[in-house]
Amino acid sequence: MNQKKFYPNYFTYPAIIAFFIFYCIPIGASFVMSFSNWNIKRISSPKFVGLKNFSRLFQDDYFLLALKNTVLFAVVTMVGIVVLGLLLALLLNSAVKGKAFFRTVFYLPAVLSLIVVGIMFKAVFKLDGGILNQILTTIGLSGLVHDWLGDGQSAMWCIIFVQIWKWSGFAMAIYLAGLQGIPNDYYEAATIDGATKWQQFKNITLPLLAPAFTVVITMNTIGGFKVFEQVYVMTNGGPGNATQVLNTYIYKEFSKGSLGRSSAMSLLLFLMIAVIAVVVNKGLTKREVEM
Amino acid sequence: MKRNCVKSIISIALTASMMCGMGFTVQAAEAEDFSVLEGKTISFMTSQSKFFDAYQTMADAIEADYGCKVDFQVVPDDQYTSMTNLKLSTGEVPDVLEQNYPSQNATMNVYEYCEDLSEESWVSRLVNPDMLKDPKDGKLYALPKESSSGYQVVYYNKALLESCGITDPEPQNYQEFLDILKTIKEKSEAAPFLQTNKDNWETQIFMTGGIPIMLGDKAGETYEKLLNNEITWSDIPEATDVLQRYIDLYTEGYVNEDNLSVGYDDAAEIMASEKAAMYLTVDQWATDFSKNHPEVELGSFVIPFGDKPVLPTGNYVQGLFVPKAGTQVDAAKAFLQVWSMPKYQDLYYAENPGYPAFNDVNGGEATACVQSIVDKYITTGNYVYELNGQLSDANGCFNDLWNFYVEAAAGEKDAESVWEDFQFVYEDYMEQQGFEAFE
Repeated sequence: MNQKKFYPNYFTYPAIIAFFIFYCIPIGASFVMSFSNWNIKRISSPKFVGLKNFSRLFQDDYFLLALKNTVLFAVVTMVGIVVLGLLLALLLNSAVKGKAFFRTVFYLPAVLSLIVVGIMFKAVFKLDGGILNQILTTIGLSGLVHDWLGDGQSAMWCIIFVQIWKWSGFAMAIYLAGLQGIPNDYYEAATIDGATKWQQFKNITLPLLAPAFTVVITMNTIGGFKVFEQVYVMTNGGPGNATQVLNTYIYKEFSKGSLGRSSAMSLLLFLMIAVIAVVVNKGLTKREVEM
Repeated sequence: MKRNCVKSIISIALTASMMCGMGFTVQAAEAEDFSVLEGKTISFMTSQSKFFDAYQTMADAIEADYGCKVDFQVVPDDQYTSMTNLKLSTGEVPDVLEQNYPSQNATMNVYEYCEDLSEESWVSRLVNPDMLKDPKDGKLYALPKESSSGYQVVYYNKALLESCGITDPEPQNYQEFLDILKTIKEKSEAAPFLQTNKDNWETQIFMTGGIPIMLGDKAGETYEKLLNNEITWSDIPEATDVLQRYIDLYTEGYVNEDNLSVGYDDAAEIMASEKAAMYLTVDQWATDFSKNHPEVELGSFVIPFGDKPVLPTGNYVQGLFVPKAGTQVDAAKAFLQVWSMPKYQDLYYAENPGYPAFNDVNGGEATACVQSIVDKYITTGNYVYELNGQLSDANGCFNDLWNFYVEAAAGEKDAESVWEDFQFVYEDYMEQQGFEAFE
């Protein structure tokens, strides 16, 4: 007799309770507190202030700067990781000598601690004795020597570069899994039909890689909007406020004791990520094709 | 007769028991019980610039004597204040943490988050307990490291300045100070004036010292008006003037080019390698530098903002606080008592001579360039307290101001816009803190 075994529903209760206590309640509390003047000094007596926290945020130039930096970071890193990861995957999916070694090397940054990576790149971008400036000097480009992390403009691009460097290998691994799932028959048939390499890439590889694109784009968009550690370690939002992103700004407000204000910012960030993630995911899933 | 006899017996018994009790108390004071420390590990949070190697020497000695380990958690300077406040407000605290005291009391909300240490036995040995009492409730919330500190002084490389033809400079007005910078710029490869703006607390020293000096007798009244929301920061011309002077140092090319990416920790190496000629900082740096670079002789002078040199100094010292939310508050308090003992404090001052907080500790011979400042300005009363300490209620938003100073140093803001932008932050912060004048 073929007897199916079912586990009782109450096995899930501990996980649901933990999820409710440690996830739902804090989010709910944060939502409520974002409409209050909750402060370290009034920890037990917050007052309802309506939309004041939100309206104040949009009068704050530095919040708007943090928002702009976050969007820039999320968009540029997502594009960079998607493109570079794909190029690496295509390269290492072909018959390249030592491809197992290169796959490991390119994936390695993904397993390194963000703190370690941040500290390492601080040494790379240092003005005096930094590796990048030393290389520039050695190859005769001393005119390009620059205080990379001391200049607000270049500091943001340095952080973006580090993010792309760190996560391209991870995207490569996802693409490789997708590429290896595409049957070789499609390419053989296309070759017999006289399709060029570019046509094969455009009409076979790209459509069939769509699920991998969905994963890579969604993950990196969300990750980009949530950026904190890289900025915190490399510049702490500086010089001045030049590289402030939403999470470092929230952290700064929170540590000043402005709990209501920082809750309002967190809520905005949460809504922004949720909307973008849903839109991106839905849009990309529609384009996926069945093999 | 019988009644008298009973009275006598009771009296004798009472007297005897009182004497025994007193004897016990005296004995207890002489030999306190630190068994609570046995096998414990005290987590001790501090920042890079507050941490000294001698702390580890002290910790090793305490471990050998009491079996208590110390786990030092050293946080980068630029993250320290926000991390301290965050930890206190969330209850994720170390057993002991170090912070400026009592100037940071209000910012840290010690009244709610830290233990009152006024009744600890080490209090009776303090050199200057009055300076350490909280201005609001008169309580003591931390164990101090020194009796005074925070002298905001320019420390210069003597040999380098002599090579530029400047010997033992003592500028008497601001123009003379600028002349020194100009000479160094013309006659050497070194940056005349080192700034380490990666740590914005270093950036603010010029202003927090200069503004009170320029305000002079008006300082108290101005602070009062600011705290009562009767004037704005832009209404203080002295503040704009000092900040403009600071910005001018950059436009004149007197400041090191990498000022935005180097921090306090880099300063010693930069000064020792003669890449910069002078550094405006606090006395702890000079003591540490002289110990680590005995080959470089430092001199010191005060920047004369007004018509004569006056020393700006902090009305704070470094203090060890015990957070209430700690998991072993009793052990932390016992640890502080041990930490304060001359045996261990002497270990610190043997490596870092200075001005101990306790009257039974040997401070050793202070670094010459620091001692000369003490002799010229502290002992003669020719000093003023820095701005931050006078406006402790607003200390929590000063980090934003310091970031604006950094933006001014980077050429992204002028002096007026710094104060306009800060007023927006200041009003908002004070309102959020619940100060009536801002509601």
